[in-house]
Amino acid sequence: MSSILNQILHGLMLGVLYSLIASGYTLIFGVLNVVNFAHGDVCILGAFVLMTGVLILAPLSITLGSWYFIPFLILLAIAVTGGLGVVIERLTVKPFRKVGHMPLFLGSVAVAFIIREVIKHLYPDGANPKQFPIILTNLKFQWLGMDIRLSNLIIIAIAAALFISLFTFVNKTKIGLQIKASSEDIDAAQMMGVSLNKTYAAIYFIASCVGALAGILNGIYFQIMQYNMGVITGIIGFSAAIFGGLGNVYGAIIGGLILGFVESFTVAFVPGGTPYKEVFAFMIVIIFLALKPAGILGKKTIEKV
Amino acid sequence: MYKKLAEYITVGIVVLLLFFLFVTFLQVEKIDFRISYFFIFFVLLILFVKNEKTKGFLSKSFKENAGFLYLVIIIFLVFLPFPLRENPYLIHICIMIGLYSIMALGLNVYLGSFGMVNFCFGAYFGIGAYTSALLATNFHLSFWITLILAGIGGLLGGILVSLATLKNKGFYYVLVTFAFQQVFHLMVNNLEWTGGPDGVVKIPFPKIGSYSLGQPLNLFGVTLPFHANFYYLTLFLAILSILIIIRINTSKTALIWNAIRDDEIAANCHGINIFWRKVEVGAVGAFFGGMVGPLYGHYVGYISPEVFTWEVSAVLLSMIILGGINNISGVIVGVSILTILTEKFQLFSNYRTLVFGLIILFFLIFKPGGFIPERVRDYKGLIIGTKLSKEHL
Repeated sequence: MSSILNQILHGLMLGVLYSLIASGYTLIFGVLNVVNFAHGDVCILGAFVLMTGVLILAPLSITLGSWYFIPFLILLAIAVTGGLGVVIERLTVKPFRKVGHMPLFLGSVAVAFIIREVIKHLYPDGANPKQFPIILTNLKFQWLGMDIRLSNLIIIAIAAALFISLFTFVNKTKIGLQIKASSEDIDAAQMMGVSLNKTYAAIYFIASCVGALAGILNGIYFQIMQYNMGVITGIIGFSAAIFGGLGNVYGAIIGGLILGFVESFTVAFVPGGTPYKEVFAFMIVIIFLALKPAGILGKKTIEKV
Repeated sequence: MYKKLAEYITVGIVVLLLFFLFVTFLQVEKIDFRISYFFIFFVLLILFVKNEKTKGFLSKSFKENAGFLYLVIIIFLVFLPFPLRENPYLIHICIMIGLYSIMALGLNVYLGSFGMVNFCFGAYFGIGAYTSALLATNFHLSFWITLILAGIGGLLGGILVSLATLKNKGFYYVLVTFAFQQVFHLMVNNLEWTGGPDGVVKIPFPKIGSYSLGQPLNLFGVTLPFHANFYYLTLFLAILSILIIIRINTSKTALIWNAIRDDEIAANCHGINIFWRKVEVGAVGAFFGGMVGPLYGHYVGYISPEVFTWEVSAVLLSMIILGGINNISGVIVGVSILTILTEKFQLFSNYRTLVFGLIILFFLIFKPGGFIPERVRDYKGLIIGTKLSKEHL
């Protein structure tokens, strides 16, 4: 019984992490109709920037060791990754805006390769799995037979806060409203004085920031990081986003949670199913897309020319 | 009469020069005097291209003697193993170029003709390789039967993916292909009867009658290493694939594919059944992927799941983009360049994914057509199936 409860908790955690990654995909797709294939690697890059920061500043932390040290590093990593997102937008979206979807997609695939290889070759001994530094507490306690880590609760709290602030940002601030306007009608928004360049950059910046935070939380939860984790992370996040309906942030949350529970329940209920947990998740995505291509919350559309 | 002869000789000399450079490029290990050949070649090239008269003559003799050109190229390809026989590794590189060419042409059916990015080509390749290897090791079937069965296996995989993606396009299609690739990799890696992470070992060499392809080849009194057998097998299949692809590309089928690629809704309005065409494309492209599997498996002697990841598709994509999307000669040029670079320079192969990424990005931004861009269809003298004389148009 307790193992099942533990698996439910694990599924919830996976779901939260997946929906965080999925929301990055969905943010970009909702406005630009573009899938940033490099998003998974951007997430991992965020975690690696943080690890680099810890690596460089660790000797200093004895002197610096105050309460604002870790939040400062996290914010720095998020900002750096967000800036990189803008660079990605300038490289893979701006040149191809009028060309079509395929070059856009292939460009982001290329960026994904480059990020992965840069991490592998620049981070010291980057080809091997790395221990993620314990930046939150390592405290554990038992409740109803479940092993609960305090950091898991903090992750859920951070994710909830992030989603709420994302909604407020999109609905209340000026840039958020510009993004929303562009997602409804990009030409009309331009006519009303919304700068396309700025909006695109803002979307990539925000999506990459969210991605970096997702990557860092991933690292805190799994406590291990490898340069090529971005492939699977990205594909699962992308699946979650499509599963829920691309372009819909609620869809991303639902899709992420469903995929997380599918994986953990495969481990819990299918005998010998541990190696096949991703197989089940992907099979569900394939079958679901074959039957209802628009996703759970998506609307059926025929693309106009 | 003399003019024709001069054209033939020009074509022959140019092809001879290119092959000489190719062989030299394969053999160069470190910087030595042979580098100067390339320098001389580039100077000659610039001189020719600058001069309008020679440029016109060159392009005219190449255009009007296409049949002779292909004949000369095939003759040179047949004799290629002879200067390389001292170093079997160089023949190995040529075999890899052949294998990648067949696969890249298969992927080009998706990417070039139909405009869909397919990320499960490694899975088709793997289906072919595992079909053949398991049948050969467990049931001792002949290579020539398993070759066809592997092609059919890949084809069925392609049809399966197409059926699962009938309603999807664009990014949704990419996601499903990627998911299929991951499912294939995880299954092969974990199932017991496929050998798990160890893969299949001791795959026998193919046999023609009692002659095994694993023994050295005696040709015209010269002994070639056993790689030459596989070189000729690959060459034969590559030429066959190219002929098939040319036949498809000049047919109505490819025209319909291109119509769907350019505008799906318009094509649908003209009565094209898009669902059926999707299955067709899936089957044709995947067949080439599946067919390469046994060639690779029986040549190397063992296969493991590590080979059949999504990186196969990524490598092929960068080759196609470098060479030229939807252009057969372009694809082969791209494959040759990247294969030689990765196989030959060890330093380069450590950074190869990085370089592939940079190549894709650079070419997409600055030269979207690749080295040899796609040619616009030329209907002079050809209207779907009937040849017309030049006066009609």
